[in-house]
Amino acid sequence: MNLLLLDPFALSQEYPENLTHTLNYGHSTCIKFNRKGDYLASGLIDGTVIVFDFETYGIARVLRGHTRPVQSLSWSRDGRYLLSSSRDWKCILWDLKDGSREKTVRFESAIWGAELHPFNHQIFITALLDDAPTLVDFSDGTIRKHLLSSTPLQKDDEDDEDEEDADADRRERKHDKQSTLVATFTRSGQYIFAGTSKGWLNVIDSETLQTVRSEKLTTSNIKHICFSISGKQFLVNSSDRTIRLYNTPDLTYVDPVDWDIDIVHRFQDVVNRLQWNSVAFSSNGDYVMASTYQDAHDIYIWETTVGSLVKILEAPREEIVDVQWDPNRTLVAATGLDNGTIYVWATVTPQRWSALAPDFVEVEENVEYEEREDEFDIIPDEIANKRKLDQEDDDEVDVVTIERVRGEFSEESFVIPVLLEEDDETFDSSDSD
Amino acid sequence: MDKMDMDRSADSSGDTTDSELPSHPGDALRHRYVSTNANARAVVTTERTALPKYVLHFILEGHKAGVTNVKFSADGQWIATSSADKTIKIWHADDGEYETTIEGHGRGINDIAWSPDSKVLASASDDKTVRIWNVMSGRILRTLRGHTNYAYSVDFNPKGNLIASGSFDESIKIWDVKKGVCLRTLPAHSDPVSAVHFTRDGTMIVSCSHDGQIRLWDTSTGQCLKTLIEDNNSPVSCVRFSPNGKYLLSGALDSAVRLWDYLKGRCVKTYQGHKNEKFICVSTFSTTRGVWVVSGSEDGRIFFWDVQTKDVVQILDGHKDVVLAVDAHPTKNLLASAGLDGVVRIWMER
Repeated sequence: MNLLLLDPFALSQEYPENLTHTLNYGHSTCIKFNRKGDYLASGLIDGTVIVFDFETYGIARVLRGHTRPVQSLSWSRDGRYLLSSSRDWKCILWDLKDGSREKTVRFESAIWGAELHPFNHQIFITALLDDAPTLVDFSDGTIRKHLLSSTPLQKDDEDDEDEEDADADRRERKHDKQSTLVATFTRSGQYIFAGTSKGWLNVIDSETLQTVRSEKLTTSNIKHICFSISGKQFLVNSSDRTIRLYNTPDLTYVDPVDWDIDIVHRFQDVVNRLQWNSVAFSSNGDYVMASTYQDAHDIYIWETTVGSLVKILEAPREEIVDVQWDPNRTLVAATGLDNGTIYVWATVTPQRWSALAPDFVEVEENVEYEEREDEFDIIPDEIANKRKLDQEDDDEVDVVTIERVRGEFSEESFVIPVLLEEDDETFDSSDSD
Repeated sequence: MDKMDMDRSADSSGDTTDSELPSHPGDALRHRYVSTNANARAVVTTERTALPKYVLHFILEGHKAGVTNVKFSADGQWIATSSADKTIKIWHADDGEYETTIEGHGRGINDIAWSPDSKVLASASDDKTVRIWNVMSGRILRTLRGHTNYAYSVDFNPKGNLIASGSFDESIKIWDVKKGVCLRTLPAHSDPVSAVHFTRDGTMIVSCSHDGQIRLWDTSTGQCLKTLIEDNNSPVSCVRFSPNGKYLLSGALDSAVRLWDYLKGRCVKTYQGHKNEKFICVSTFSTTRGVWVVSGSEDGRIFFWDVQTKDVVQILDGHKDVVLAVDAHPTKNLLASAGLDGVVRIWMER
């Protein structure tokens, strides 16, 4: 509700510029904002998952269960459940109401990452190291695992010009052994986009579990695939040091065979030719940010329409691993590699002095003050009061109906209950490390 | 019922049972005005919400000194009362049964606030601390120290993770409930801060002070967003947001309760008729059946005004001294009132 009163120029700042907070609770390896952006989950190197409350920058929950570093985190749509995967070959679904484990799923190999279905917290997809990517479904109570294929779909093209090329292509698709490194749901949950070690993008229908489309995007490993919040674009980060930005094809009305997967931009570091550790979209999808590998302790921010670099955020002394943009505010959180500190960049707006008195106005240049005719008239109190009361409208005043303010996040988001009792969990930051 | 003869329909003894008009919860308030002059009596046509007919339901006694505040819990099951006798008492809202007493403050308590889950209570006291209590066990959970003078007012934010407190030291402090530390101190006013209140979504805080100003603050940055002031600079004794957060209701020591549209920055309604020149008399909205503005008065009476027409629609008698606090139940047609006479009265409308 404060949006109506805030300075519009302050609100229009598109990316953060100042390092405002540093959170030092254990060694963080990966972070994830919830959908509303008021909680941040952080996975530590000892397996603990911490949920930060970003209104107080304090700890809301400490979730203990994993024994090895946390690989990935994924929030449910309503913000009540959190899925964490770890190098101990387990995925745990946490219920944040009381911090209990809703479900624990064990796998036969190491896990690259796990992600919850955007609408159903009882379905998730994982990419495994030595196994096929698995869709896990426990909606009916039992844990069902469905294995998905990593092999690209055979192209059924009759109008392929070159017979040799078509043969080579078919051979490549069929025989090149590859594993899926990353798998993510589309924004509607209808399809799964999986990236393989040979640079193929496999699109799998999440109901039929069949691969419906495959496209070779690059020749090297695909490390990350992430969608913008609107779902209209997606980013692919691969080991060939390039970040590719694509327009998402029309997933609802067009057949997968007819999809156009068009590349919009390629983002590269032409100066140092470095790898990118992690990539993310901005809250409105207009910016893309990525963290650099090794010696450069930077986060690069590009603008998506033209593809130009607009900002470099520098982290003090540490290489940045995981970067996240708050879905509703201009705020960026990132983890450091050496200490696992979480850095937070935000916008800082100065106090508007015109707010301190009702008749203060901020002006650009000097204004000559012209007095009103009756400025210095002396009016007896009773008449002045009567005049004021007369000016009051007879309009209807609605004090009860709640109106939605444009620009505010209006969906129901789970509020993590504050635990105040002495015997509740405590977190000693000196414990881990 | 014609408006003319309901003018001073005072409820005298309070324990008579009227034959009631059936109340229709959720009745929309529909008026049609013939004259637009605010001073002329508006001629009201049909389709009007029936006037409030509150009668005394029960009396809660037990405090040894004046009762400074009374609050219904968010779930509507409990009543908490704070007093100058340094204690807080918890009562059942449905039958007035006494439940427990919470003790621990070193001096009289000025204000109490329920957490949104109704399990935890915050209290502000003259001993300069704000304390957080577990209601059922009466155990103290946190003591928030930092104010340098009497803590006068306290409010939880709707998520329950922040507390704002206003104090005689002219500042407002925002506290982290879980850790019990002060996150921010706002240099709010130039005179004691008499009330603080969060909006429905917790993004803004409104505060008022004896210097006559009402200020709106942004919770996350602590910056002042707007200032409202009445021309005669009389101290503002209480302020709160309307249920939809678009208007502010303030009571001032010139015997007037005002409704402000803070976006336009001016007062849109003034409610008069009661006496309020020395004490802090809380005013509030009652929205369970009709939309009324309720306030206590220094002559021991409780006034109800119609939000739109600004007419006095009911006056309740019974208290022997200044009525300091009133509070409306969130869902039922119940009203609680408390004052310097140490007695809490619960009024009901059937």
